[in-house]
Amino acid sequence: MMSGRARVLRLAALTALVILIATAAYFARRALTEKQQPYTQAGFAMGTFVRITVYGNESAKAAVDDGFRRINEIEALVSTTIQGSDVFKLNSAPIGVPVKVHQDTAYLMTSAVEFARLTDGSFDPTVGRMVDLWGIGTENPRVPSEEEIMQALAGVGYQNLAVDSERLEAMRLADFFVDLGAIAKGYACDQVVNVLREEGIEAGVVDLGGNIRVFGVKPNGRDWRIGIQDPSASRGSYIGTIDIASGAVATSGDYERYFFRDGILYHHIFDPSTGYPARRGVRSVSVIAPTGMQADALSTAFFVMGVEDLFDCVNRWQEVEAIVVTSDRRVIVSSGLADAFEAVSEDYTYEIR
Amino acid sequence: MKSGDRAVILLIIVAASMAFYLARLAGTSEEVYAEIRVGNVVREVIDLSAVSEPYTKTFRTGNGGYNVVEVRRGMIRVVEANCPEQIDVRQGWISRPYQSIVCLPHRFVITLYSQRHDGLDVDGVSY
Amino acid sequence: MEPSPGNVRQIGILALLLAIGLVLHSVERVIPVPQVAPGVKLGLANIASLIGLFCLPYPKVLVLVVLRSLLSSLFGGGLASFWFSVVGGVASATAMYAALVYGSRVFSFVSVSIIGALVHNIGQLAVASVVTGAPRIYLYLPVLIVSGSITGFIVGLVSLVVLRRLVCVDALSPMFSSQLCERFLFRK
Repeated sequence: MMSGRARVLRLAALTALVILIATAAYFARRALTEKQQPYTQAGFAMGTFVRITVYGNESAKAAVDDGFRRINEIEALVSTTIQGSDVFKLNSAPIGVPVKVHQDTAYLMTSAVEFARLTDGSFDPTVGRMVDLWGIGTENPRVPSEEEIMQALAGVGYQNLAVDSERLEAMRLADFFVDLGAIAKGYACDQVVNVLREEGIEAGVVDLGGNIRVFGVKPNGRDWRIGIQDPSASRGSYIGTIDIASGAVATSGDYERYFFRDGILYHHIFDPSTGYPARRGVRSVSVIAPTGMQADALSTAFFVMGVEDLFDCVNRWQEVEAIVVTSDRRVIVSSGLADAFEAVSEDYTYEIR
Repeated sequence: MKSGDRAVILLIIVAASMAFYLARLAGTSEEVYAEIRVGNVVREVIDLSAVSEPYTKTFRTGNGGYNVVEVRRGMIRVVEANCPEQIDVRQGWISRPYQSIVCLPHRFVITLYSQRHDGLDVDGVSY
Repeated sequence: MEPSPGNVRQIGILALLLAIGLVLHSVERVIPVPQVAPGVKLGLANIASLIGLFCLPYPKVLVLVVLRSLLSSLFGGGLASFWFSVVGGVASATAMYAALVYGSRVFSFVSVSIIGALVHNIGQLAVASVVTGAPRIYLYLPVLIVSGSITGFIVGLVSLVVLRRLVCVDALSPMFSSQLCERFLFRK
């Protein structure tokens, strides 16, 4: 028994409730399904695991396939083991004799020499003999003798690699082997992004063995979030994340390729001046730079340089930032990343430089 | 039982049904699945949250190689393999999205994915 | 403002309820609760708020809530937990007050408690959405309504039993608002 007014009130309340619920349900549904589902494809290339994620449309698969094809193309040019590759031909040719190379190779080699110059030889594309000597990554890694190392070290030096970009020729001026492994993957990342863009893909992530390149704007408008691998944990666990709008992240660490002999860990990042794995108390260096090639080359160089010198470089070069994980469980983040970085692990102490 | 009480009960019932609906739409919060691939071929995809009994499975990876995978609810690992470095075996269990176990000599990779893409996890990990 | 005997007594009650609320808050941290959504808690401290509404004027109940949030966040929980408690607590106390004073014909005691718990959860969700910057968090609302109803129901039953006993003690009965007692405690 209710007065007319109360009845109207109740009806109004009920209607309002129904409308509220309907609206809420609509927005909920939209929030959950609107997000454009990304297309991801993974595979093996350049001797490592590759994953390409794009936010696109129907042509996504075709574009990504072309991306993989481009990676294989580059590998065919720069691999030290594939017999027809430019690098193989150069390493097998007599010293002092020029060898014809493709445009990609010439560009890569020129860039490599330039990076070596900029980092005073910490990055060096002429350490091929070291890689062979130690055999890291093969079935038979070994610790070479001092004499063997001295001998292999003799030819090392970026000045000994001559590249003519106009005539597309390269030449060895001493007894060394070219190895572009520390820069090729980053370059491949950039190339894949070019291919994807040409085919109309507006945003995506290229993950080439841990070298990451992002481009475009994510559908939800936020920055890309990249994790930095925890050297002591399984792959995929990270010590922190950075938010970047574009650019590349590459990491050089002692945990990727290594072997133990007599209780000592030997990893695959050589100090070009000593011929031994670089030991500067650093477990990994992640470099954030505009291009994948820069990030890849510099992450190797910085690992060799050690904490002090690398931050000197980072402070000099505006567009480059770095995150270092040291052997005594510290994470050092360059100041330019202070806002973008977020710590995630409790096992490390974090500092900004 | 007063009229306001009835309104409250109605609200609870409505909320409960919405909760069910949303839960079905979004998938359970712990939904993680493992993708096992050898080279470029996906051999198997396992929904780890739906595993009731632990089991093992052997994957032949060409050239006489093999990796034995152990699966439990919410986690997976390589328990045995005949690769030289045994890096995959040494990794142990993985259970969170974006974690992975890689056996390079065998081109054998286990990657974990999550159904949720709510912008709160990462777009990639640099290693 | 001269402390009248009634005022002093109220402050004493406030202090007592504050202590009880803090103890309940600490106790409920030990009890394991299924974490189906962020912010799912038993909310046992609402027992203190609810009893407070029956024997203290509204402003003092707010004081009770704010002090409880402050102290419990000092004991462990930090600044974030303070905001969660205070927003949820003030909102829920206000909602319960409104229900008690204006809704005596429409709501029974346990419903008031449920309303208090629901509003408490919504308040906490609002803080969470501001803190995380993700309005997406409101998707948890339906689940929280269900869990809030359950905890509100439990809190309501406990408070009802306690209040009925307290009011029947001759020495204590003058402390309680006879209006509210009549309307909520002895009908059913």
